[in-house]
Amino acid sequence: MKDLGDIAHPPELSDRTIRLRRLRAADKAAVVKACNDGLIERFCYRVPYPYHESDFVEFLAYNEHFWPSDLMANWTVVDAGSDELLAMISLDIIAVRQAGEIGYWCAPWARGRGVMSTAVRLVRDWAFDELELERLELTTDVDNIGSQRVAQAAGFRREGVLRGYLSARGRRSDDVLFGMVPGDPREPRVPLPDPRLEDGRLVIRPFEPDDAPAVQAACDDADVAHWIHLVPSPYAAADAEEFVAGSRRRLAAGDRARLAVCDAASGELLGSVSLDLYDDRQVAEIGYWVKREARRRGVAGGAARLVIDWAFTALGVERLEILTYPGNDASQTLAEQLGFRREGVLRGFLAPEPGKSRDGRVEPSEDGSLPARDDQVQFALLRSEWRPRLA
Amino acid sequence: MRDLSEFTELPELSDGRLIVRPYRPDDAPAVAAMCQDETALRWLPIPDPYRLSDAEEWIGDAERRWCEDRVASWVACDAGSGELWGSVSVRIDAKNGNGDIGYLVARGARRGGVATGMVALVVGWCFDDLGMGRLQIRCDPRNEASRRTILRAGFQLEGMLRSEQIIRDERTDSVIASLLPGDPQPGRSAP
Repeated sequence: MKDLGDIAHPPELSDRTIRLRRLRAADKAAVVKACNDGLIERFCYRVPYPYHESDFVEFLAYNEHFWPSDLMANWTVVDAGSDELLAMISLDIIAVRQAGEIGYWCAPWARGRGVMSTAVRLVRDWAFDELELERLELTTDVDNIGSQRVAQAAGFRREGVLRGYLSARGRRSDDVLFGMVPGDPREPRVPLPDPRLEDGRLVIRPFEPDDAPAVQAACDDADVAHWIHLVPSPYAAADAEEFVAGSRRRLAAGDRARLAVCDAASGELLGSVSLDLYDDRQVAEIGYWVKREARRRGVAGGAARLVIDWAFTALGVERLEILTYPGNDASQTLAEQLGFRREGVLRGFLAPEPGKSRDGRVEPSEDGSLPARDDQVQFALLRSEWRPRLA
Repeated sequence: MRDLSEFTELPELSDGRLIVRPYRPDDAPAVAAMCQDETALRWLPIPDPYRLSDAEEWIGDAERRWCEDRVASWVACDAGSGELWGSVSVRIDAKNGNGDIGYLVARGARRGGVATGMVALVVGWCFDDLGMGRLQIRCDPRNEASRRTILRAGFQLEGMLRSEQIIRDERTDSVIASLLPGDPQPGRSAP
């Protein structure tokens, strides 16, 4: 690491689109407006909320001391042409381990166009190439999907989830830890290509938080609960919220794509299709459910075909699996229609669920020492057997 | 099944003849010798050639594999001499109470029931100590020795998973077999 005493103040950093500069008194109105935003309240614990002008005055006064006293570099991110305020970013240097932690917030009006990831790249390059830091870190709430995308776009590697890591605003948060070391490639690390699949009739897309009520209405159904492992019955609003939040977290992590299946014309949520990825994405398991009103219209088959094509083309999967309960004739018929071959019955593969009675159950021992388990019929489709549909 | 966070360290298991114990750094030369072997390289997804540094990396990663991936891995040794005879592992899916067992026997120790012995020890730990509900073993259908071990340990064949693994850049099929706690297990008293 360089001797930081040589640096009187962090320099301005810029590219064609944005400039990272010192905070000015004239930034007050824009900062106050940006920080009184719901997502900043939810995910940026160090920013006061509601944010008053006095908070800005205090921040501005302290801002000049960040670097000399705390080795904290702080920049205002502005449009390179108009100087419009877009975001704030900081680099907190932990000298004892020659590492830096990046933190940021993005103004609501600047989101969704790569401002934040560009700013992180500029700070990253300065930290590695000029300061010669040995490690960079960035943590973000597990539900802050936008921020996780920023970290991935800047090449950071997801290293783990820190449970109960931060305490603020009356709750403890679980945070994803992203890290980067000087030898890492600086290209974006996209965990899964954007899953937006269409066939004219159906649209498959990531779940959004406001899908929860439609998920609850669809899953509060005896058939869905019966045939889908671990679907609770009755299905509460909180179950649907957890389903949607969990889908978004796992999609960001890249190990599971559980997606919304919608009617292309009306946008109505019809069901869900999921792809669980194993073994470096060589093997994946497909699952699906369709809401009662939309069954017998080929929705599950159409959605599965879109996801099968996506798995074999965009993801490079070699082997796709479907596991069903022995009594689920509809699902087995569909698997065969999709070209899957039955490979065997996995005995007692799943722990049974209270209140759900299914065929193919390994009975419990008479003295009750061994619990019952449920069998699963295993189907698979190989890349070599797959026939892509003609456009 | 039991909460795995109670198990910060893997146990040592023994049947009097065999000891199945966690890896130690000084196992690396014997592990490298065991893996740099025609049979091991043919059937297992391990680096080829297998060098001392591969063994050191594998051993150094063992604690992380257990804590993060819930893969328990051990070496099997002669209870008397301590000579390294094999290795065995189980990947645990705690949510479903399932485990996937893998194993390797050193060239000089084959045909002596070592594979069956170490699988039985791991089976005992999984069912009796962890309360797991199902164990499975997958192996290449052409691997006759491993198929015999699977059946000898009481596992029942369930099917053939096609193109399921990659071994030396070749996609290979796997036979899948399972053992449930209530199944008859040779050499083990009924639970």
